[in-house]
Amino acid sequence: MHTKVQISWIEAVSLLTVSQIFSTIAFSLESQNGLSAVSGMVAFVIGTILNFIIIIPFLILSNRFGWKSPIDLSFKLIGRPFGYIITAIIFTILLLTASSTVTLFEGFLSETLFQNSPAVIIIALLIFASAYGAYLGIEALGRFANIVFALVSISVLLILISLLKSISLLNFGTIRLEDIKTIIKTAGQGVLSNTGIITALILAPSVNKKHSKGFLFWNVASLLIVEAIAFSVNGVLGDYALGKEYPYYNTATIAEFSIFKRLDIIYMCVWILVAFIKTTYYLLLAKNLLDNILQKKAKKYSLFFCGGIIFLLSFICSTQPICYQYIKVITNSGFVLIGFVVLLPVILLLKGRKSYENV
Amino acid sequence: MKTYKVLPLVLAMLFLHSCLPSTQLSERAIVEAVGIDKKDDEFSVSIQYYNPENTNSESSQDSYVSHSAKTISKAMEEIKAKLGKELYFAHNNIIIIGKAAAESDVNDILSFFDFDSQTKSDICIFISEKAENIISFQDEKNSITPLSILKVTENSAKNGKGCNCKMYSVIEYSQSKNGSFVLPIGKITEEKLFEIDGACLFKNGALIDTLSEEETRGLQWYNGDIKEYLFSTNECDIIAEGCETTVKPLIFDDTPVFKIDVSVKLKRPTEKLKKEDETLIKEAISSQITREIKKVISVAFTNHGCDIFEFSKYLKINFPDFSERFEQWYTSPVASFEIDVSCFFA
Repeated sequence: MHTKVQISWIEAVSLLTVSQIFSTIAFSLESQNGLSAVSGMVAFVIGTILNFIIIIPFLILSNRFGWKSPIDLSFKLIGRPFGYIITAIIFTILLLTASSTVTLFEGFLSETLFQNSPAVIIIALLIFASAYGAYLGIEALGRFANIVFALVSISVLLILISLLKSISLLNFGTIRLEDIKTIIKTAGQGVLSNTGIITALILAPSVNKKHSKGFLFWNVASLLIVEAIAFSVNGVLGDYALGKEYPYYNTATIAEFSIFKRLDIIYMCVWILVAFIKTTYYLLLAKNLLDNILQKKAKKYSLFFCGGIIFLLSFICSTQPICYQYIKVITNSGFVLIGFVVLLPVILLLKGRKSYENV
Repeated sequence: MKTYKVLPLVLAMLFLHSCLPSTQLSERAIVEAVGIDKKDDEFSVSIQYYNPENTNSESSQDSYVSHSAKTISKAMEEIKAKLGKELYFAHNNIIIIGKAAAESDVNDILSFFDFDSQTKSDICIFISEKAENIISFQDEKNSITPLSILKVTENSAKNGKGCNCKMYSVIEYSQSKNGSFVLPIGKITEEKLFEIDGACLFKNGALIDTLSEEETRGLQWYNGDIKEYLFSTNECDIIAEGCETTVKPLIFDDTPVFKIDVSVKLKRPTEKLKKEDETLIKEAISSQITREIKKVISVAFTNHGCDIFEFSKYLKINFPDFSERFEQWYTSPVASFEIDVSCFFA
């Protein structure tokens, strides 16, 4: 991806972190494979370490060719047909992830804020707003992500502090030796379902400097926020959270701070912004990928095309939940992630030995 | 792309909002308290709601309505139809469950409110002889509002008259394997005041016994929830300002032993105490607390097999093997307890 526009590494960290933590809107203890709360929290740490391991091939690739997207290098080092295939796969994953984000968000809003409201309106509103955000470009989105990142951090901290007195350490359980396999499995599942790492590789050429530092900060910041959320939910709700669709929202309704009796409104405001950032970010990346392979005349329709597909998919998913499950299976399977983040850089490194001079 | 090209996008965003369904304030009945009773296999639902149209200066702006039906949701629907308004539960403060309803099964009642997305997870629940009597209570001299009831109920958990009443906590206990929990008992006194007097013990969703004030206080000492309690001794009155409890399980010959250490912080009285009086007071307070904790353990755990003390959780954390071998040990509980209460003046 050739991009003249560049964002700072801090903006990239904000964008990636905010996008990644969106999934905590439906933070569920069930995704912890029956592990105790503390084991689940350890799995998050292991997941972060795994993130650092799987990025190694890309770091070596970048060391040799500079911070280029693996898609651009595929076009140059392997050939145009291969480049088109990779672009098509990543484009599909980006649109599917954006659609699942919109569907999840629509479900959350219809459940909590706008009961009995038509799904199509909520979906349309979010996609219109995201399309406008994507039209403004990565710089504007990066700057806005900085603000949202600060708001998210403050709100998570505020909710955590206000709940400290209600936290029961008994709810965390212990780590048992026989759970280690499950902990690693849970960590692996977390890593494989993290499409954020794919976007990080595509975003890399748009970041002006300090890429490695950015990657480190992104993972650490995401880990801290997710751990704070897990600590609040597990500590306060315990097993009660198991039966809840949006446990962190329930936790926020319990939180009180000074004269503010319900902190869920802060949660609601912040998570609306988080959903907007994530949808816009994925929409923008998908549009940019499409622009790379389209003729100049067709480029002006790429945003409408991507937005339209996300709208359609989200609408189908919200009316047919099974479609949402299929999308989750595809995006969480990890095949694309391993192929794009691990295998492709290795292939490019092997291929690059011969044609290094041509790049 | 020029700016005018995104104008339809911005306009669509502005105008699409009007397509979302909305309910005007005048079309809402803001529920402040709900009472659930059971009579002849029917649920009687009573609701106290905020009514701004009630401009009678002598009475509050709260109105009351009730209806009976086979299910709670049916009764709610009927109330909605009666009022011609949408019931709004986001500001509901309390749920009162009548004793008859509690004796059959409270799990259905808890589930109804738990699945309601407007109801706060930490809403206060308590038991009363007849819920409707509290909801419909009107008195010119004493105003018993849902907010004042909430305050009394919350304070009673701090001074040992009542116990924890938060919905999420009650449901967590009820969903545990043991399925035991407690709820405070509320009543209106002869002086027409609302007060909490003890607690009800539940197992598998049904009320099985009541705990006296002394037993309820024992539970609160055990939970470390008492924040203010007045001890009247022969020498003087002493206020306990708080307590902390630690539980350490041990296993001897396949029998769990729970070491319960309670540390009580006492407020130093204004008059100076002699050293020996201080020791006597501490001993008296310690023995009272020990007696109260022993009593509640005996009634709830030993007699009824209700693990409202989370002993199973302590065992699961500290002795997972034992916990797995004796998964249902609390059904015929064999355990011993070593209670050590230490008091200190702040």
